[in-house]
Amino acid sequence: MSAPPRLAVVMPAYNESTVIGDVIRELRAQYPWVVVVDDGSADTTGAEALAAGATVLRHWINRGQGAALQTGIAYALRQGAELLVTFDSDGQHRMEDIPALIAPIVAGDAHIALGSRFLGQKAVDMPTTRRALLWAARLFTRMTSGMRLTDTHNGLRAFSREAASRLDLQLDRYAHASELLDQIRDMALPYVEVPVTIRYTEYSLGKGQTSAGAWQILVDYLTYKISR
Amino acid sequence: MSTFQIAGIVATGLSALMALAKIVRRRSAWRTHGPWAIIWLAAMAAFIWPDGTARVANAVGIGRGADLILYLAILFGFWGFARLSARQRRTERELTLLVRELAISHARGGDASPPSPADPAPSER
Repeated sequence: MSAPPRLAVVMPAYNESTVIGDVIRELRAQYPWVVVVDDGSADTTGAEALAAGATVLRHWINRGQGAALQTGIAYALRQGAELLVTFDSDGQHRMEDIPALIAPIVAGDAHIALGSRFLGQKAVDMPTTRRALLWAARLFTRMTSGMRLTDTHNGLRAFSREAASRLDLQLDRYAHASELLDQIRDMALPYVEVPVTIRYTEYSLGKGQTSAGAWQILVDYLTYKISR
Repeated sequence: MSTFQIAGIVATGLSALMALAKIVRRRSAWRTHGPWAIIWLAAMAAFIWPDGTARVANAVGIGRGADLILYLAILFGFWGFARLSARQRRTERELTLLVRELAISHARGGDASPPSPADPAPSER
């Protein structure tokens, strides 16, 4: 299937030189417009992404995944993107999930599609600790945002231009995921969850969030809520 | 009057004078320096009339003047910390916005402009 016109795949990246080239090449076979935001990587992430054919934006200093995501979204919108897909650069996501993800938006049934690894049997090799952490995150999201989602921390998402243009992430680091859901709720635009597969590899698990990091995310998010 | 009292009166008096001078030089400075002038003058008064703190403390239900000063110092510390944190968050936000604009203006490679509907996907070329 060839890509719908003006679809941008936005990938924040930090020190992913090992895998990002392969991820981009696989993506570009179907989706030619890939926007990578190199978030101040210390390795050759940017060069690898460039060589693989992506458009590369570089944060000169590391600002965090949330900041990189917002930068990529802002750029894609300015360049005329009509549909945006956010995609992790560590190889956890599968390109094969994109058609089902964007289908509700293309059909006009929703403005936002959120990937969920818990809809059906889609969490491949997920460690128990990670499952527990995500369960806690789900509960936290229900309490703070009121949204009943099955997967609150999945980087595979799709946005219509209208929805993406209303995003304005203020939290630069990992707490942006909770803030993003708050903004989706406040947009009052229709959203859906779509089953996707997350591939857990030793590499991707090593890059993921730790339990200790989860506490920092909680502090960042609560501080943000209080200060609003 | 003890040496400590005299030193305290001089230090707080000078600090109050400096704060007041800034306000006199620039009226708009009262927002920043006005509270400080009040704090230094209150501190100077506490050095001049040490028994006064006990009276104020009793009036608000706190036993000793020293305890009152301690509580006020703690509150002031929390307030100062909150202000610094807010300022740091604003600075971090401005830094992110600056880094973002630099990144966007220096975008390189790939399809820097969106692909035309007529362009085939790379797999079809």
